[in-house]
Amino acid sequence: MKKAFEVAKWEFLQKVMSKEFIISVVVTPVIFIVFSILPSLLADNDSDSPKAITILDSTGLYEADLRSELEFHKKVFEGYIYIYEQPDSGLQLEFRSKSMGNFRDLRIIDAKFNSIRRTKMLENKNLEQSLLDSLTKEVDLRSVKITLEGEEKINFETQFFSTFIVIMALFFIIMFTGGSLVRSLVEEKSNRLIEIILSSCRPDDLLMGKVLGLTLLVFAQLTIWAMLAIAFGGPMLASASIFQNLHLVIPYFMLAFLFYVSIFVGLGSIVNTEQEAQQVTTYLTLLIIFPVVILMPIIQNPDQEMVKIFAYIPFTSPLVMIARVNVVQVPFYEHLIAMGILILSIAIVIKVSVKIFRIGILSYGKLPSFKELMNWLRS
Amino acid sequence: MLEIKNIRKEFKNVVAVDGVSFTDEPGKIFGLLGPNGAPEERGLYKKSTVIDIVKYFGSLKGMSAAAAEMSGVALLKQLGISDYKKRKVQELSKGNQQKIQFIVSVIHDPSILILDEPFSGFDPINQELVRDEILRLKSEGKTIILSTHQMDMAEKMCESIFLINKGKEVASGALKEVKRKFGKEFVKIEYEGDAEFIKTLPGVKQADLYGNFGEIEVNDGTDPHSILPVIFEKVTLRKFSIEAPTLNRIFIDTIKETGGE
Repeated sequence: MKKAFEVAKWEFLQKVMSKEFIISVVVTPVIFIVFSILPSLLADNDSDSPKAITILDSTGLYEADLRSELEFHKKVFEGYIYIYEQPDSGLQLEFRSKSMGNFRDLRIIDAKFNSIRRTKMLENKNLEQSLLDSLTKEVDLRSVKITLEGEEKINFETQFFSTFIVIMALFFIIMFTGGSLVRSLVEEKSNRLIEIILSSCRPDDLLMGKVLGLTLLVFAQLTIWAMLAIAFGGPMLASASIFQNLHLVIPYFMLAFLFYVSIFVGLGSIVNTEQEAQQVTTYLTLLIIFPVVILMPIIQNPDQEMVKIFAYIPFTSPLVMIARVNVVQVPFYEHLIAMGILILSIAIVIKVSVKIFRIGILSYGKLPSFKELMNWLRS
Repeated sequence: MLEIKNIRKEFKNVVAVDGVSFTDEPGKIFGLLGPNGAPEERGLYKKSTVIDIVKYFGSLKGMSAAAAEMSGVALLKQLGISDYKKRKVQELSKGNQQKIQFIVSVIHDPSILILDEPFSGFDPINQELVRDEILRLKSEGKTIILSTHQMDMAEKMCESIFLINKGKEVASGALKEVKRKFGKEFVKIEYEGDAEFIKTLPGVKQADLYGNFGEIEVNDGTDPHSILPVIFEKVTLRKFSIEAPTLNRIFIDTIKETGGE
């Protein structure tokens, strides 16, 4: 066990001082900031100096009111609004533009026009002002999340992006560590350093040491990120529900990390070259990225049957659960089942990986066949 | 003392070692000689510094950081690479990297050393440094097994040898004994000209010709001197001597007899 600590110390110190680590610590947040800001910059081209709004109103009834309403919104429309009467189907409203038009802009034009039209029609009926006011009053739809502590208003976009960023960050950490683990094994194997190491310590110690060292490395990385996040966006971040759910996010993340790193270490021991390592890690990446791909439906329907199934499959469970706890109150028993399955799976994966590792790490040449792997497991 | 008794190692379709036994005593160098095995290139952590690696392997062998550093620094000095202590491995030449591998193997002062081709990849000056280091370990009473196919080195350094071919013992024992038992006197010549005719001379069993150097073995009962006049006549002879058997010769002869590689 003492030797496992020596291996862990070595792995941690050598990696923490490497250029790759420093770059990943600095560059990853920058990428995420760019990723999260860029889409909203592209979608929202708000401007303080609106262009003239062109309205072509063949009825002559709505232009003035619509113009004043839209100017109030200070929006830029790259096209013109065309209002006209059609003999068969009545009043028509069109936004004519070279591009498809911004979805949110169209909604604003639609809402404003119809509200003006309704008001005008009601005014013509000579209704009482109070009745008119209450009829034309718009009621906004708010979404409210119900939790045990009470209710809280949520903003879907903040919720989605904060969950997305955290899950992507966790995904990158697992990929980065898994990849570097496999690379270090391939290095030690290809230069036969592994033989010198294994003449001094047992394979189990080496495997444990590597996993432990990488876990420490990830803790260091997360701590640095957490400090950066608090320093730059403390109060803003605190309101995001992902941070209010840290007591669930952290255990799920650590379980995901252990699960995948144990798989990486087993697979890493059988490959001989960078190319083989690439192949093996690519398949794993697909498995890990899967929850990210289905993140949108998960957040929209967190309690759907399929989502619940994915929440119990160890490969997808941690990230799916992290996404779910942000949007719904997941019953306690579901956590128990999901974590139970995960812990059991980790125990199995470690057992299998250790067996493969013991033999694989000293086997050279071609990748072992499935039959050979089965033989290793039985030995 | 190291005693090996009747070991056998079998892989899927190859018997690597079959019924091998030998003993090796402290303070002695035991030569384990045989044809080439699989070529192996070894390396170290390229991006780590020399002293970090030395300390890491020391710690894996159960040494404290301070003890590993002290022992490592001493070995670096003995092998003439003290200056590279803080350098990264990738900045070192192949030969110097190999010295680091030697150091991490002996850092914990083991009582038994198995050295596989310790001289390969070194220039003559560094070969001397490594040789002196091995001799120092020998004088400290270590039990050393030297596996090599550099017969001249084995001949100069080993007290006893074990010659193995196709997993089986071919010759073994004290070096002197082996030489006496398996070796035959042979004629060594240095010459200029075409000496191919020697191979077909009556009384010559076989001749290894290198162009300006040759080793000739005569048949039993033939006086080695009897071939001198013929050779003297046909080539410019610089040297003609009758030599005691070398390990190199014994190696070539016995391996060929037992079926080559």
